[in-house]
Amino acid sequence: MMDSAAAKLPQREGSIFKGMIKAYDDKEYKKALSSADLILAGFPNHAETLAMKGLILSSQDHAAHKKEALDLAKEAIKQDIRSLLCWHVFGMIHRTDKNYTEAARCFQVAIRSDPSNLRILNDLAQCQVQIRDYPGFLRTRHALMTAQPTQKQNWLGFVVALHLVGQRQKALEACNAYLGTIPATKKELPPSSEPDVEQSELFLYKVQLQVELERWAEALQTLDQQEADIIDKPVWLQQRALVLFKLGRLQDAEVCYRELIDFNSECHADHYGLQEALGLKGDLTPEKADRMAALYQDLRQKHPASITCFTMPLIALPASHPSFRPTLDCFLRRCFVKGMPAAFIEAKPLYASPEKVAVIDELLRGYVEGLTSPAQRFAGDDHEAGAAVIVFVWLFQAQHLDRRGLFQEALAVIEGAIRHTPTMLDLLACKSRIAKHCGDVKAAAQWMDAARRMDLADRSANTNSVKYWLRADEPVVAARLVALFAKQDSEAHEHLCDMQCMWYFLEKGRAHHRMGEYSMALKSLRLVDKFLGEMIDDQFEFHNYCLRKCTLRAYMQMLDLGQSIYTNRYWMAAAVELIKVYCDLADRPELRTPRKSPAELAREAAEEAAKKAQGPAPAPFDLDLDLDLVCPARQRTHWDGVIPMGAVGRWVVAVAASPEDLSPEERKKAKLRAKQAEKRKAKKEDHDTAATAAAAALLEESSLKTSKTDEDPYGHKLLALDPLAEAARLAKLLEEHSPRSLEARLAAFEVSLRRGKYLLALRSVRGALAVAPESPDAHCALIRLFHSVDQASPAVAGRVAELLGPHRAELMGQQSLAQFNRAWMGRHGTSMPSVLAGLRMVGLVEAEAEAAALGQLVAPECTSPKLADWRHAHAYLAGLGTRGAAALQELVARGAARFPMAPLFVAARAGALTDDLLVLEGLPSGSTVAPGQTPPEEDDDADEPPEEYIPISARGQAVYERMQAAKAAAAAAAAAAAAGSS
Amino acid sequence: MVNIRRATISDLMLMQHCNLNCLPENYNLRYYLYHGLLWPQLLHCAEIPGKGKIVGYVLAKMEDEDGDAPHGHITSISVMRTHRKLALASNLMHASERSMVENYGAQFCSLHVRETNTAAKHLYAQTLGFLKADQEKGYYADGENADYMKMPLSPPMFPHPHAEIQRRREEEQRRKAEEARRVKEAAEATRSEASKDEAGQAQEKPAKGDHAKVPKKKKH
Repeated sequence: MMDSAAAKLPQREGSIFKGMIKAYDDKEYKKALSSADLILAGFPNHAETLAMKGLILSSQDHAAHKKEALDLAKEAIKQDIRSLLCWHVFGMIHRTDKNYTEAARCFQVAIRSDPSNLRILNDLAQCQVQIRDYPGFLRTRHALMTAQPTQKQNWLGFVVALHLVGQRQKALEACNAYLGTIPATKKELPPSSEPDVEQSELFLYKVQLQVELERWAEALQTLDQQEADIIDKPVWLQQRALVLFKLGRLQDAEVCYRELIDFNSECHADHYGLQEALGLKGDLTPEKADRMAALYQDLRQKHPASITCFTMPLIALPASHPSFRPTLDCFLRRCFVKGMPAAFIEAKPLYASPEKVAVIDELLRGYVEGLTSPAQRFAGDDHEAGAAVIVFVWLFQAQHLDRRGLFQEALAVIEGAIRHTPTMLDLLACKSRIAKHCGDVKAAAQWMDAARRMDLADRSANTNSVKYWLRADEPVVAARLVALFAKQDSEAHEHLCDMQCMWYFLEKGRAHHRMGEYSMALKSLRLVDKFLGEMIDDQFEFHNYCLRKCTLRAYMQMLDLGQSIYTNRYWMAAAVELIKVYCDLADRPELRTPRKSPAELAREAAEEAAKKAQGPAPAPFDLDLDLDLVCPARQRTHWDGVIPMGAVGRWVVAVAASPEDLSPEERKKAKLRAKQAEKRKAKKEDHDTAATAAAAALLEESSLKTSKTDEDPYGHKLLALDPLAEAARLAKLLEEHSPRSLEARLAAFEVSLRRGKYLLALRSVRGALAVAPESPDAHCALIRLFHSVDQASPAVAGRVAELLGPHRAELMGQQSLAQFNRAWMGRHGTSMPSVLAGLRMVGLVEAEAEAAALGQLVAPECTSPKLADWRHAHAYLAGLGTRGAAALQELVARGAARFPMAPLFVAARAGALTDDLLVLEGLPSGSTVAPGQTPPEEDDDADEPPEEYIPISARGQAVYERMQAAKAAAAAAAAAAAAGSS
Repeated sequence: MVNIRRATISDLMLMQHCNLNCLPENYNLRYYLYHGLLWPQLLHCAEIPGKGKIVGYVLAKMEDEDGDAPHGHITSISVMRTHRKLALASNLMHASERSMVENYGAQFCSLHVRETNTAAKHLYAQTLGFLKADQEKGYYADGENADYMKMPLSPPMFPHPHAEIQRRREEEQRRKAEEARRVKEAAEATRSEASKDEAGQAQEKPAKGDHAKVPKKKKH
């Protein structure tokens, strides 16, 4: 094609053209570009040169030349619409732009003029599979296979394409044909002991095809014949076990499963396989239960360390089985003696059965009694349990009580445990979770932060703390905490973006949404969506690679991921939240005028103050000190050796080392830190005056934006987008990929209703009702849909009513909306969320009856175990103003009885959960002491300025004051003690 | 209820999530795809069934850089704090090591760890049997040194399922050891005999494997 392009030019230019192509292939873009310009000077309309210039520019720096490159390529095509090179180049530029759909279209045009052009066929195939155009991919792959049948990739590509379009039989035949060619070449080689993983993978892929075709006998034959070639033994065994089971050879299957369990006793699939092979699946008759118990008795002897061998029978057997209690007893004791903080998580599935919960409860009481008795041992044990064992029992018991909704009891237990061992991270984290369940998010955040401080080296602890601060609507604190593990503070945001940290931006977006910061919410949540886009694009380069490496099974999984990636729960949650934000923006257009966030206002105020004062002004925020608040500077990294760590996984207390304990190296570091501290102090004094505005700006930037190139740090431009159009795109993806998700259906409904797409809305409602027929939200959606149809303009209503009429009759019969709603409320009178939903609909369709219906919400039988439901009811009644005042009072009284620690109902208890946090705050951070140890000497940073607690909010202020008081009291006590001793 | 199993490509996003939760060294999904599609046998994860949650994982690859014997390398391994003490790390590591030996004939497994991360070092050395082999100065982005640790893997630890292949393998190994010994002896003989022959033999570099354009090793 190059020759034909050059042929259109005179000889001299023709050779320049060839030189240009060569320079491009060698990546000498500058040289190539000047050649192109040289030709274009004489022949400005030479199509191929125009196209090549675009390609060269795009290869050089796509971001900078994107538009110019595309324009050049378009111009080239205008000049010569039949040029293969021009179309190929146009496609390549689209491909660089990650627009694979357009790229595939261009390659398709190019291929028409040369159907056997291997390069274009390859490019086309790669784009087609990326956009999941499987029939097109199959055509292209077939062409490639026909053109070049000697190439491995072409064979395998063809096989995969057949598989993708569902022609498994043909895929199997092609696979066999290809595999048939291997032994011929292999035979000539001497027998090798080198593992041939590619061949092994191909045979396993063949087995996969046979299994998908349910050709069990053939699959078994392959497995047996290629036993030596399939070197991935666990997979070989798993497939064989499955095939044998399907063939009814249960005993042989059992042998395979047992062998699998011998190697990895924690793989559940193998356990289920074994149970099935032994006929122990489904409901257990007494005889089967005995066999199950015996089986696991046996397995436990063989695998004494296996946890699954304990939990499997505990879940499967009824609580009444004679072996249940001893097994559970043995399991729990082992967990406690070993000090497993995860014991409760392991036991969680048992909570589905009230009888099992009762047994757990009884056992726990026994343990506590035995361990707190003077003998300090488990009942029946002849030796004393370690001092730490009781702590793990308490930890379990607290979670056990919390899980049953007995919050106050749980708090009492965990507080006792914390008094016993104040430094154990897991205890503090547990208390934080209980506080969360009590409805006190602020207290939960503070306790989680206390837990974080117990091990600053632990990113998990940091992550939890960040999450809890975000849930408590403190994104600024969260941003600075998350930065502690994400490179330097200034790059944290970028780092988190590069690493596609979805959970953080999801939680951050939710916090901004709750706080009414719509532009920031959009900015955060859209990042999650962007990450997903990147992940999809990232697959592109692997298409050809997998074919070369023969990892076809993994490749099929990746192609499947392309389909299932939109079911990722972080993306789904972000998409649903984004839709909520967009719907809010659509409902209340005034929100779309950019509004300054508190952070922005703070910066402006600070700048103004600095301008006016022109002199020293008190800094509203001191970044340095503020950072010390969330994490004292000397402990910001775990690897600086200040906090010696013990064995991993053991609950080890971080003990600040005294100078004598430090190695020379550590001492050097300590000195260095002292120097830095001095420098910082000096610098601080220098800057104190000028710091006002800068500190505020920095503070806020650390949380909001860090990228210098971000033109829209507050996301104001995002408010200008058409909210419903953006939401519709997400809704479509959600519904398409998660049709069985109630949330996805409801989110899609909200969008369609606002867009006036009643038929789409109906589809979503029906989908939601199919998933959850009794869902209160789906009920609301149904009524709202027909209500808006009734309210729509007559022209629309007539047409739509005609289409929707049959559905309405089917779903509601001949009832009016009000009647239908009343009937529904009557059926669901005991469920608080359902009654609330019904009430909202009463407000919509028969507003006059609302006041009379309110009583139903606060009736004694109307309740919910979920605090969130109570919160929604509270918000609803509070929103009614005086009309709902009486009912609200009633609800608060009932709520206070049900959730005595929730600040929502018991204002007086606000802060109660954080009272004893002060005990921990009073301890110098990082120098906490394990029980039985003497307190270490004051550590090496004594000359640093004392850490000051700078309040970050009104809440912080209160804590700060209480803390100061506690500190003062402690100091006074210490002084008194000193005076006494001297 | 933790289930330990071979990871699939659809687990990678959750593995990435677990990594971001637990460790300061992070990677984008492309890097996980790279591991999962090239060495699918080596990736393992610990999941909470039914919850779509992954609480531990091992991300590993094969290396056969110049001259080194084929060996596995642990790119990243971690377990969520809430699930420690369940022996997840050693179970994950063990499963991955087996696959390294069975599928690729790995002769040892290596990893990098921050010099000052005593907790992790303790795990690798005491629980998993790794030994410090080397130190790499300034390996991490913040300038910290890495300890390069190795754990020998031998086929007898994971005998090949097929007796015939296992026998051949052992034979091959004996043959190789014998050959290596002979080469060494011959080299010594030539050196002592003809040290004047300065030309020397240029050592042939082993043929490079099929290296595609893949992300460079991430160093943070």
